[in-house]
Amino acid sequence: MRFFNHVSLSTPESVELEFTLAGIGNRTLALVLDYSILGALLVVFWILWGMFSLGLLSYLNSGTFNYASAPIWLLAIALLINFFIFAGYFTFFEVFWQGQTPGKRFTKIRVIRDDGRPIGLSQAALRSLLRPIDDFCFIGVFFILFGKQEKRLGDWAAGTLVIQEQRGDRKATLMISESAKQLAIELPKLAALNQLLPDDFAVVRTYLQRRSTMDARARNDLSLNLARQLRTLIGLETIPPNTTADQFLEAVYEAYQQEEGCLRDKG
Amino acid sequence: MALPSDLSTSPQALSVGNVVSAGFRLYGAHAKQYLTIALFGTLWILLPFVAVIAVVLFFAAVQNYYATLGLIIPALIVLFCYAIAKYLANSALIARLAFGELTSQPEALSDARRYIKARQWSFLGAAFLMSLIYTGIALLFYIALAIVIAGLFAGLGGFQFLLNPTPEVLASNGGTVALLVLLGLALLLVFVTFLFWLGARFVSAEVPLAVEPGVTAMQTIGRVWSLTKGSAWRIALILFVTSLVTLPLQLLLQIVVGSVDAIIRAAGFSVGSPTYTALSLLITYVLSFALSIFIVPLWQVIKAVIYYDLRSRREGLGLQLRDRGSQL
Repeated sequence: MRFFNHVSLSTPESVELEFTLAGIGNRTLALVLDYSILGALLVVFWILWGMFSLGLLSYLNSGTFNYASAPIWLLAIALLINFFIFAGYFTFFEVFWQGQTPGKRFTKIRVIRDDGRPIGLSQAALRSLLRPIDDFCFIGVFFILFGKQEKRLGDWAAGTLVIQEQRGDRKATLMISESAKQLAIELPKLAALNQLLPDDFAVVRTYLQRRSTMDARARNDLSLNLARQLRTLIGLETIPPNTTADQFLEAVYEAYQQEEGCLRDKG
Repeated sequence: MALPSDLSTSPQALSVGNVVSAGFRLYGAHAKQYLTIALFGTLWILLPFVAVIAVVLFFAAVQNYYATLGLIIPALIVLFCYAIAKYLANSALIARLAFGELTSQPEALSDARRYIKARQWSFLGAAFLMSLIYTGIALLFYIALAIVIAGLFAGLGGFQFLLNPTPEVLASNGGTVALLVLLGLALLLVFVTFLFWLGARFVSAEVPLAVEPGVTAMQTIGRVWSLTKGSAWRIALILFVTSLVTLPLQLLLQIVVGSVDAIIRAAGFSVGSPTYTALSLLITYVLSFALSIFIVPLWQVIKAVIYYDLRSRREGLGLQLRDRGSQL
């Protein structure tokens, strides 16, 4: 089974695109973050507005105006501005950050249109206006949990989807030791690196990315295991002397990457 | 070709949100199985309550044979322990099944049940150890708090005030008193934060016992402690987000309880009469047990996903080159 919902869209140019939907967890977390920021903004606004109102009233007090209805007007205007901050926060960010709010950016999710295009002002505004019903009446969560496309009311109305951003950390540079770089130069002559599939390479890369946060003993076992499996795969007789399992894995990673690079240059 | 699970093909570490989403998705896909298990687990927990009520009713009606209590009470304690063990085992069963799905090695229910049943008492042992840890820590905190506050109080000359309490002295030391109260509150806040952190460190305490062969009640706690090292706040956030998502369900229950109350009142029972109290209590309890049938599988699945994610982060679970022996 798959652990996240997926959608595949065909664009007007009939290109098939596959997306992983954002999921209830990411959307809730994004909402918590956005509401925290929004709450802070509103608190600041009400404090400023309170100071402004007090100042205004004391100014009016000193004059000879009839201002009996001023407080109620001040309150009405404040409520209106409050509403615009609430609705504007989501609309503004979703339009100018191409479907992302600060919370969504943090959780790496994004709003797109049903056909895969970035959302515009009308979609963002619709989503934002229906938000109170979805969020405060807790209707959205049921729609997201039980709908195949995870659309809340605002998404249905605006014709939008919330998806996960494609991961961009693939190119993150890894620490490769000097001795491993040396070994990587000789490795293609010693072993059949072309036996490696992209999946195998991905496993080695994931190990190298993750090893610094791994438990020491588990890391030792795993690197030895991977090195042994790799050695058999690429038909290497013996691992060169004075090479640790980690260095060997780094060397294979480096050598494979260079080989790939060469192939790409020729092609 | 069957669609591969997206967790096993790209063993990426899961983000906070994705742990929660995967948990809900997994729960949804196996809801019937998990709910049935949770139902039986909850029935086991209900059993000792029913037994106690039966015993009380019996003695209230007969008003005799009190000598048999010497036998009945130990029997009830044994029953209680057995029921708790059964409940914990059923919960662990859900976690084990969920973990099997996560590692793309789903297990038949009967096999999983056999595995769990053999370790039934270890789950009780682990839960007992955990409660000892929490109780010990709470005691330590209260002692420390008492020493700090009493020490400060004495240091600031509070005892003289106690010997000769006058409103004037209190008024002149108002700032100090307020400071002491604030300090106490701050310490309490620190302690609650610490408890959150501790809860996150021990979150999946029974899962290694349910999943890894040869782990004892003692070792399972040590396992989780070492796995969660450095991940406590991430786990706390996962738990927070999960409970937020379940909030609407809890609210729904509140509404149902409220309307049932109204119905009882409409049916002619007056508020404050014993029947009304008994009825509304009974219904509230039944509904909370019903809710727990729905909630327990969710937390068990979330725990399994957290455990799975920790293993893949800390131990590289699932990171292996595929065996291509058949092709060579």
